[in-house]
Amino acid sequence: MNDQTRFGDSFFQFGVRKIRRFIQTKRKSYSLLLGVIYAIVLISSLIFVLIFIYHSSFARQLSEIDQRISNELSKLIRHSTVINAQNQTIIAIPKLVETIQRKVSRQSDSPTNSTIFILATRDGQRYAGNISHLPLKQVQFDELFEFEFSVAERDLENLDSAVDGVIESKHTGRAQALLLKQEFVTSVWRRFSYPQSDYVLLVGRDVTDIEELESLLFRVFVLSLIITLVLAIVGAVLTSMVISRRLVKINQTCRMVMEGNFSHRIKTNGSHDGFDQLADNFNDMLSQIEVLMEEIRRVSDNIAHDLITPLNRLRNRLEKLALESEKASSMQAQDQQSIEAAIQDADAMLSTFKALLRISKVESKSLTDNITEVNSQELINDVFEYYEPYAEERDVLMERIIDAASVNILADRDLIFQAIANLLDNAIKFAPAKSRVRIEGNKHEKGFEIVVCDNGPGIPEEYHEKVCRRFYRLDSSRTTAGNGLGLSLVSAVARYHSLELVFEDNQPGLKARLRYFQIAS
Amino acid sequence: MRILVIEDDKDTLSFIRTGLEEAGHVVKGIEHGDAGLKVARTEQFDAIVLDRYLPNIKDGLEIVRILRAENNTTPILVLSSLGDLDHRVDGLKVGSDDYLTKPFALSELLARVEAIVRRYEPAKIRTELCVDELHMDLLKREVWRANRKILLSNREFQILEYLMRNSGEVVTRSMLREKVWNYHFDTHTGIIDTHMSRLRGKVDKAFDYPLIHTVRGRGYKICRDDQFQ
Repeated sequence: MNDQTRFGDSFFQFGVRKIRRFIQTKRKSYSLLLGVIYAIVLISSLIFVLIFIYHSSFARQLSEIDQRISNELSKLIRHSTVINAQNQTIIAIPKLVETIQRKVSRQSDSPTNSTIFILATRDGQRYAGNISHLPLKQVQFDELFEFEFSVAERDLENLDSAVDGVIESKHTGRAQALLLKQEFVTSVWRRFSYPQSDYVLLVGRDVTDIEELESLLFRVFVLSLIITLVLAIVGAVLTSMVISRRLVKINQTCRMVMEGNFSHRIKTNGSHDGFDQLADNFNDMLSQIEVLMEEIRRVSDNIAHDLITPLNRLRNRLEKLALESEKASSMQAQDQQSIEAAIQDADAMLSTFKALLRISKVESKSLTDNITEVNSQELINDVFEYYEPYAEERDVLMERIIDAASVNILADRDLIFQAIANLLDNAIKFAPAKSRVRIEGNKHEKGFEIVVCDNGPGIPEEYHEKVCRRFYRLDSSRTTAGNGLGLSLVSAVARYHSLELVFEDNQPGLKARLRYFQIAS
Repeated sequence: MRILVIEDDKDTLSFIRTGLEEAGHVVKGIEHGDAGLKVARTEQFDAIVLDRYLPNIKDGLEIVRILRAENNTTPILVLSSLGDLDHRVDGLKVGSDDYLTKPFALSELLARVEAIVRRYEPAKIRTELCVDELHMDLLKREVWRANRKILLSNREFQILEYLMRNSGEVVTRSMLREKVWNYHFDTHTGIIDTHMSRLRGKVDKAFDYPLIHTVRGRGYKICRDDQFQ
């Protein structure tokens, strides 16, 4: 028993822990709320039904019994009332005894099936009735009460073992009692005489069966409530889990789409239920968005493409003009300078368009197009070397930290070089004089990571995502040279390699992480 | 030089033609791929400029493949439409010598065509490069100017070597970027210039006259001072 309790306790605790954790993880879960509401509705409807059953059976039966008892009692009183010499209505005990005896004898059954009568003096001396003695201790005079009595019955099942084949059985009765005070009774009537004292008249009915049924029903009530409660909780949790699992699927897809992976779709389970319909609609919406995005991209690519050719022609014309004028020295130095400036402008525009198209190309590239093994150390050293003179020119100190072991990573060599170059370019561009720009190559369990840190103004956290958008520039950087495409390309390259591009606060400055490169085995 | 240009776009063709002719080359322009292949097989050229996307032919690179299969070693520069940066590798794999994406600056095309032709000059194994009083020993990896040794970093040595191998010719910034760093990428051109100014600091600064010259709007050139113009 003890063991069982302990087991029950620990099981209960386990359950509580589980539920608590479940609730903690789903504190804001709509599905859990639904489940709880479902459980509450279920339990309260059960309670309602139980109360209704109770009322329509027991309560009514009891009130009927009560009615009958008081009818019987008043009938008895009426039958035994006499008027004495002083013109008072009093109760004649002998008459009452007679009436009771007549009624008892008329009732062939035992008192368990019919009305119970007993008339006794207040100290328990019985004069009439069909039970052995007055249950003095339980008697109440102002209201109906329940009492216990025993009845001798013939034991039909086990005649041998019982004394004289008779057994005593306990019963519960419901009764009303009347205290007949001395002054209102007369103990002498016709030839009968009884002691003059207070009498108690009890009229009742056997309610053992009803009581038993009631307690049985009560147990059933409690049990069914417990079962329902358990089932409701289990049901709520299950419902919540089923709903939330499907919501999680939808949310996952949403997240992936938000990360820019438009090809993801929510899987339907073929049941055509509400969630499936939602998923279908959602998928259709995504397809539509994908088509629109593709169209926009194509349009902007076309614009860029169509502008590049004439722009290039313009640039070449200017170049030719510059060459000719140089040869013929027919032009003034001032004009030659303007031509140079115009060529530079055209070059800047061309490079913007080219960068734009390059991003689109990277974004639309199929995977593993040009992935090769790249030596990380070599790669970092190459970018480092490429930018070192530029950093020196800007009075920025460059340093590199590379994990000693040289690692081969899987990457598109040109694109990764370009991405790191863009990050370094930004870092150096925004770094204040005398500050440091650091490039790190770290080997992690998950893969290789390249980090570029600077002590420049950094990027406020709320802009971390926005800076990767095309042409997005922070207000603070509008005055510096650049086309707002550098980080877009980095993020496109990162996506192409399934890398994370993470910006962190370098306190002060920016720490850009590209991770995790797959390490070639 | 006799140069074959296979390009289906008339505007581009005439643009390339005038550009190359002005630089003193003889140009034969063909608009169709199959006709171009026929001409390339039957006539001798110093270089071929080939558009990758031609009507009547699936891939311009097919022409390169056929020519190379026939042991035709004419240097070939492939032009491709913009954005096919990855296909550069394919282009070089089948045996073309350089790859240029459209649109391109005329000076870029010129410099590259001249560079691939030079590379095809009978290959003599060179151990030393000389430009005026500047000497480069490729075995010892040493550089001397006017009997003074110049210490260069590895990268600076590579830049100078590339310039000296193409001495007297223009080398564009993007050529330097691709050939010296061997990555295909875009950055603002200022960075190559800082590398060049470092190199110049070592090669030219302490001497009477400069050898490395900036060709405005085009690139750099190494040559004797009086030959520059």
